[in-house]
Order: sequence, then C-alpha cells, then structure tokens
Amino acid sequence: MDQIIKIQQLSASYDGKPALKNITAEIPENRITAIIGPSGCGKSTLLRAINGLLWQEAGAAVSGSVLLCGTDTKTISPEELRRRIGLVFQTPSPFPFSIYKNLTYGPLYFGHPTKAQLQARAEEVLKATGLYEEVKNDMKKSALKLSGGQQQRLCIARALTVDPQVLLLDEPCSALDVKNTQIIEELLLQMKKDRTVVIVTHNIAQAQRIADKVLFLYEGSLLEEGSAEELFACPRHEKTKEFLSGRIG
Amino acid sequence: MKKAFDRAFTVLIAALTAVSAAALAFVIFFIVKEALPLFETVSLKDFLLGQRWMPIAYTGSVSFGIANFIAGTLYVSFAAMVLALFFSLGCAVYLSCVATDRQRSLLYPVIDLLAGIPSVVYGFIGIVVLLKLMMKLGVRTGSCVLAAAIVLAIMLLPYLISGCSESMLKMKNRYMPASDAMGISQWHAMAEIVIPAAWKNILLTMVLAVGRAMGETMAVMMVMGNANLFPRLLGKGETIAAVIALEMGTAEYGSDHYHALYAASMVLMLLLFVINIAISLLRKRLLEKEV
Ligand SMILES: Nc1ncnc2c1ncn2[C@@H]1O[C@H](COP(=O)(O)OP(=O)(O)O)[C@@H](O)[C@H]1O
Ligand SMILES: [Mg+2]
Repeated sequence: MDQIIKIQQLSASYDGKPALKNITAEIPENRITAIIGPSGCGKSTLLRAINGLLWQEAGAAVSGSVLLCGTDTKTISPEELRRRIGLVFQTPSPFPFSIYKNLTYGPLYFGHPTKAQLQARAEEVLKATGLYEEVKNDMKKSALKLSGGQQQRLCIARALTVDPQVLLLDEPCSALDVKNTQIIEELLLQMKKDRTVVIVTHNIAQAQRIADKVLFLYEGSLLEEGSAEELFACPRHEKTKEFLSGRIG
Repeated sequence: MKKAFDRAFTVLIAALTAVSAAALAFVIFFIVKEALPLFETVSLKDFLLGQRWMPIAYTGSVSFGIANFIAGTLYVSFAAMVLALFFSLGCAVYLSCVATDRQRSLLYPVIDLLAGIPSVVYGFIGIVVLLKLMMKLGVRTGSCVLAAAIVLAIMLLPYLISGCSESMLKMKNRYMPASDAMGISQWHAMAEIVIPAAWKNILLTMVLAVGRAMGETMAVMMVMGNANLFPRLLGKGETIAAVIALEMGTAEYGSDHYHALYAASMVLMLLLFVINIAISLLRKRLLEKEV
C-alpha cells in the first residue's frame, strides 16, 4: 500500500498558541482516512496544511513539511497543488452561479475544454454525487436554491470537476440529515477506487462505517493512529478510549 | 416597572415618528400649495419643456421654462456618477481584496472624513484649482458642466467607495475561501465571482449616489457657471437646485417668479422621489434573491 501523502514534523501556531504539535503521519493512497478528535484539537488546521492553505494564512506560523507523492508541497505551485488536492468545507459553499456554471468554473480555469467536454464532465460528477437525477432538468437554476444536502453534494461534485488525486472533506455531513449523509458516505466509498479521501469527522460511527485508517488528534498532537479495526477495537491511549466512549468531545 | 418603561418608550418613539412624518407631509403640502398657482398662467408643458427662463419682464415678456435646468441637473449628476464610478470601483477592489485588515481600519475613517467636509469647501477648491485648469484648456471663464461634474464626482467618492467596498468585502468573505481552496487566483475569483455577486448592491449604491448628486447645490453652483443653456460638457449650465438657491431670495412674495421657483422645487422633489422608488424596488428584488 503506497503512502500518497507524508506529513513530517508539522507544527503550527496562531499568535504563539500551538494548534498542531509536531505531527508526523502518512495517508495511504486510494483509501479513506478519517481524522477524529475533540473540537478545537486541530483537525481543520491539519486539512488546511495538507492543501497548502495554512502557509498563506497571515496569523499562522508553520514549520515542517507535507509531501505529496514524495515532493515537498512547498515546491508545488498553489494552483497545481490544490488542483490535485481538493477541499470541501463544513458549510456548503456553492458559488452564486447556476449549477452548471459551478461545475465549469474549475475546468475553465485550469484548461481549455470544449463545450462537449465540459458538459460530459459536469454530468459525470453529478452522477457520481447522486445529484444528476435531481437537477438534470434545471442545470441553469441558481445553486443557492438547492437544499443544504444538495449544496454539499454539489460542492463535492465541484471539487471533483478538476479530477483531484486527493479529496479532503472537513466535517462534510455535520449539517446534513441522515439520508444525505448516507448518500455522501456511499459516494466516498465509491470514490476510493481511484482517489484518496481524507475526512474530518466528529461522528465516530461515521468513521467506523467508512474509514480504513484513523488518526486521533488531541490538543494538536497526533496521539494515536492505526487501521480502523484496530483503533476502534482496542484503542491504546487513555484519551482515545475516553473520546471513543463519548466522555470527551 | 420595566413594562411601563417599555410602553412609555414605544409611545415616545411613535410620537417622534409621527412628528417627522407630519413635518415631511407639511413640507410637501407647502411646496405643492405654493407651486400650483403658477399653472394658472403657465401651462405644465411650457414649464417643463420650455427653454426660456425670464422671470422678470425687463425685455419682452416673462417666461418660465425649466427644461435646461432639468437637463442640467440630470446631466451633471450622471456625468459625476460615471466619473466617480470607475475610480471608486478601483478603490473598492483595493480595499476589499488587497488591503490588509490594518490598512482597512486606517483607510475607512479617512474616507468617512471626506464625506464630512462641507460642500462649500469642495466648491471653493473647485474654483481655485479646477476652474484655472479649465481656463488653460480653453474654457472661457473656466466654469462649465465638466468642472461641476468633477467636483460632484469627488464629493460622491466616499459614498461610492464605502458602499462598493463593503458589498465586495461581504461577497469576498463569503465566496473567496471556496475559490481559494480550488487553487484559483484571487484576481480571477474577483472578476468571476466577487464583482458579479456584488453587482446588484453596487447598482443600488450608484442610484443612491445619483440621488445625492441631484440635490447637491452649493459646490455645483460655484463652478457650473449658472447660465440658462442646454448643458454641454465644456459649456455652462445650471441645475434646478442652483436656480432655486440663487433666485429665491430676490423673488417677490406671491409673484409668478416665486411660484415658479416652488414649482421647480416640486420637480426636483419628484425626481428624487423617482430615485427613491427605484431604490426601494431594487432593494426588494435584492432581498428576494438573497433568501
Ligand atoms: N484562523 C485562526 N486564527 C486563530 N486561531 C485559529 C485559527 N484557526 C484555528 N485556530 C485555533 O487553532 C486550534 C485548532 O482549530 P481547528 O483546526 O479549527 O480545530 P478543529 O477543526 O479540530 O475543531 C483552535 O484552538 C483554534 O482556536
Ligand atoms: Mg474544524
């Protein structure tokens, strides 16, 4: 099993207050890795580090490095890096365009696709996210008019339009109902055939359902990591046990 | 106790609102009442479309046509808005997307300060600086519509800049993180997302600015030449507000001249009324869209 992303001695702090403490970890290719931990432990910060956003934040002091396929991400241009590593936020963030234009925004920026290619790409990602049947007749409708769950799936679809190798998702289901959550989980399981998925989740059951590997963060440190079966069956660290049993969170 | 206080407060607020509404109603009533007698001697058509404004019969007959003043008001207001718009869009893009929080917190008070300068000061600077420049450019006395439009444009800048940059900043904060996470350059996102999303609010700010410009009197009067001519960029012109301000003091009470000035006020008021209706319609459409 290849490790597509390697995080090496990564530390970050805001105004001297550490958010990530010397994290070293690996993300396996074409697997789902879940990052869990109590809120404020640095999960979102770690995701932002992986696609390079953290380095350009004004208030953040960062050290250490992240390697993508063996190349230090600092040497990859932000555009290239983020085309290869997509990120979906916790709150759905569609652009104020039509559904279709949301899906052509990325491809048009990164290349010169023909109209037919754009159309095909849009349909493909809509089908992948289970939105196609719901919106195929009003692709010109404003994306802001979709329901929350549809918006979030559109955001995943939008991230997929530029064909990233890695997709990062920051608590993508925290505001969604059971049905939409289920659709997204199935989608992620489908996706790992040809993509790497890293999902931050507050929902332990969700991590158990879909993750292959789990990273447990606690107060900025990586306390424990391992395959999902192992970590959930017999957590080694006291804090992990407490978190999994719901005593901290 | 608290309840009684609440009730007293409600009554007080209602009373104050009623007083302001009554004051406004009175002003409108008064203007209309003083304006109407004019139309016993002059037809509405001649008044609105006539180009001759001869309030006193020195030579020949009197005549009350305010077409040129209406045109002057509209011309100078829109010219000022167009001049100011490009500049303020540029400033707004800088303020919302380039400036750091610290620079913003320094620049906004300065912009607000500009809005607080009395208009006579702008007019004075217009006379001292702009009219000289215009004379060099070959405009006889320097006074012209262009000079007035420039002065007015400068006066509109603070409103346009803060209005445009606020709506752009709002849109940037809302949509830029997602675009950033896709690796798309800031300028591309600015042009493709932020400005189009802020566009309706920018339009609203523009209409508001035109409204302000139409009522502006002093600074415009000081540099526009105040001749009853159809406005041309380098020619003289006169606005409705200027006619009223210049002649009200000398018009004999109850004369046709006096009534004509009130009728002109009524026209100006109607123009502003139309602008306000446009604003509320626009705002309503905006709100509908946002939900
Ligand atoms: N932009 C920021 N400015 C200042 N502090 C931040 C910022 N982003 C995150 N932090 C701090 O870093 C820590 C980790 O935050 P975050 O990664 O968002 O946690 P999580 O996603 O696990 O809830 C928190 O203590 C938070 O207050
Ligand atoms: Mg978070």
